[in-house]
Formats: sequence, structure tokens, C-alpha cells
Amino acid sequence: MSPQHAGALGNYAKFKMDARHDFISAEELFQRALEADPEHSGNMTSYARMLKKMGRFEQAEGIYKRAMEVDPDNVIMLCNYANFQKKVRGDMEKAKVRRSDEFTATILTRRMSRAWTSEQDAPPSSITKINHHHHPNPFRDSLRLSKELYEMGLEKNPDAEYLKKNFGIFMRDYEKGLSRTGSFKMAKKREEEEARKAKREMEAEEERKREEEKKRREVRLKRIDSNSSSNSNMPHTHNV
Amino acid sequence: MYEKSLELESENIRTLCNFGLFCYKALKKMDDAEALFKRGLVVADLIAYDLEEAEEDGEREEHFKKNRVKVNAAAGLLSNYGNFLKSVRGFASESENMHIKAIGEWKFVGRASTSFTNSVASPSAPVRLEPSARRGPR
Repeated sequence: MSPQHAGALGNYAKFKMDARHDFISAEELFQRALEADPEHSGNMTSYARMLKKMGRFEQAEGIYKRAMEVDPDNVIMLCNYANFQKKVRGDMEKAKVRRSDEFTATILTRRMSRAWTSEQDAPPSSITKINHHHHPNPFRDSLRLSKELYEMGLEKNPDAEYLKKNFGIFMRDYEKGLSRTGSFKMAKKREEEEARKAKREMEAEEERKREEEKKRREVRLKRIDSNSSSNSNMPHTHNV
Repeated sequence: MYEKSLELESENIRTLCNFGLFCYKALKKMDDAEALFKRGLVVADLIAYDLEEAEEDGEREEHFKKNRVKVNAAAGLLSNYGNFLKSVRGFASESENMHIKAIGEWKFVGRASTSFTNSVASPSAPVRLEPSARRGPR
């Protein structure tokens, strides 16, 4: 009906990608959709998602960055980009660090931070922090960047169920991922110790309240007993 | 609001589409959503019919320019109904037909009654919709 309808083209492309797994047709449709509306962040997100599936990570990241410039408030895009950072970049950097290739890791970190610097937006604080690390760990940094993207999304749209759900899943992996590095193990221990302390304090407070309540009840019971005994000693009067 | 709007203008395709989406996504009333999409489909078919007539007269572009808003709304409805059919009802072929209709490539693929593979195998013989098929959903 309308060959230039960006939304319809994008929906059909998504159908081709998800239902038919026909990435070639889907790519063609995505490109047509982006020609029709180059600023459709939803289509950009889906296209980047498909490129990630195809293993074309550089292109996918390029599209995510374009989407960030065009529509930084799109929570679904932020969520997908955060996932991309965690799964793709995180795993890649983790592999590099595992090989103890500090030099490569540093270059990758710099490349990531350069890519973030745009005229409109200041790079997230985690990126600026990355440059000052004495011993860079891009795996940890990509996780931090993901976390920041999620937080940006939630700040903009705190009711987005989709974002909340994904953030929950991310946080589970995030803690796992961070606990692999020494400093975070310490931090985690400290955090757990604090949680235990808070729990102990809460339990003690509850115990104290229970004791007070018990004492109060005993006093009340004693009073009732004394009242009833004094009443029983009084002579009964009959009205005539 | 949607109901009031439809009382005033029962054939407004954008309202039908948005109300259908609202029932589907927010209220999770799938049957109501489908009924609304189907009502919209009847209007979309009429728009498509007009477009085809204009094409026969060689005035497709002009007609499209004049009725851009309506045509785009109809394409949006078809596309959203396509998404609905796939994700809620699990009808992949029907959904694909809707998507194809939405982007205006219906005649190169075939009718809903023919299978997708067969119709793709003979793209040189475009199949035009019969009047009965244009009228609305089955």
C-alpha cells in the first residue's frame, strides 16, 4: 500500500528476521526503511540487533551510536545497546584481558572512549574514568558502561517494564562479572558484611520491641487481675 | 476517548489502529483488538481499491500525494495487524501477507489463498485481488 512507510518496512523486516530468519531480505528491508526515514530509532535498533546476530559488531555499534544521537530517549534502544555492550564488547574484552594483552586492552579502551565523544553528548562518566585507569580492565568497563546505559534509560522512563526486567537480568550477571576481579571481591565482601550487620541490627531491634511488648502485656494483665480481685471483695448491692 | 472518537467517525483508520493497539498492548484484550483491526482492514481495503483504480488511470502518484495521510495510516494498520497475527495468534503466513500488503508489494507475491512459496516461484505472473477478496477479512 505504501512502499515508503518506514514503520511498515521495519515491521516486515523484523518479521523476516525473527520469524523467517531471512537476514538478507531483512537487511534489504531495513535499508529501505532507513532510506524512507533515516531518523527512525526503532528501526535502527532492530537493524543493529540483526547485525549483532550476524556477527557484524562494528556496523551494529555504528548504528547504535547513530540512534543515540538521533533519539537518546528511546528506552528500548538504550536497553539493547546496553545488552550489546555487555554481551559483545564485554565478552570480547574479557577474551583480550584473559590473554593478558594489556597493550591491546588499552588501545580498545581508548577506541571505545573516542567513539563516545560526540559534540552533543558528553561521554558517560565511566568512559572518562576508563582513561585514568592505571590497569585498564575493559571487560569491567564495558559492564559499567552497560550499567550506565540502563540507568540512563530508567532515569528517562522509570516505568518501562521492559527496561526494568532487562536491568534486573543484567544486574545479576553484572555482580557475577564484577566479582571475578579482586577489588570487586573485596567490595562485595564489604557489601555483604554491611548487609549482615544491618540484618543483625534489625533483628535486635525487633527482639527489643517484642520484649517491651511482652513487659507491657504483663503489666496490663497484672492490673486487670488486681482490679478483678478488688471487685470480687466488694459487697453486692441489689436494687429493690 | 477512543470509543467517543469512533462514535463521531467510525471509519477513521488511525483511531481504529490506535485503539486496536491499545487493546492489544495495554488492556490485553486480544479479541477486541482483533475486531478493531478487522474493522480497520475493511477501510484499508477500500483505500487500496481506490489506489489501484487510480493506478489503472495512471494517477497513482497524484492520488497518493492527495491521500498520503490516509494511505500511510492504512499501511500502519496492516503492519500492526501483521505483528498481532504473528505474536498473538501465531499465524505466520497471514501475518506475512499483511506485511506485504502494507508495503505495497502484494500483487508480486500472490493471494492469501496461495502458499507463499508457490507465489514466489512465479513472480512474473502478478495476481490481482478479486473484488470479493478486497472487501474485507474472511
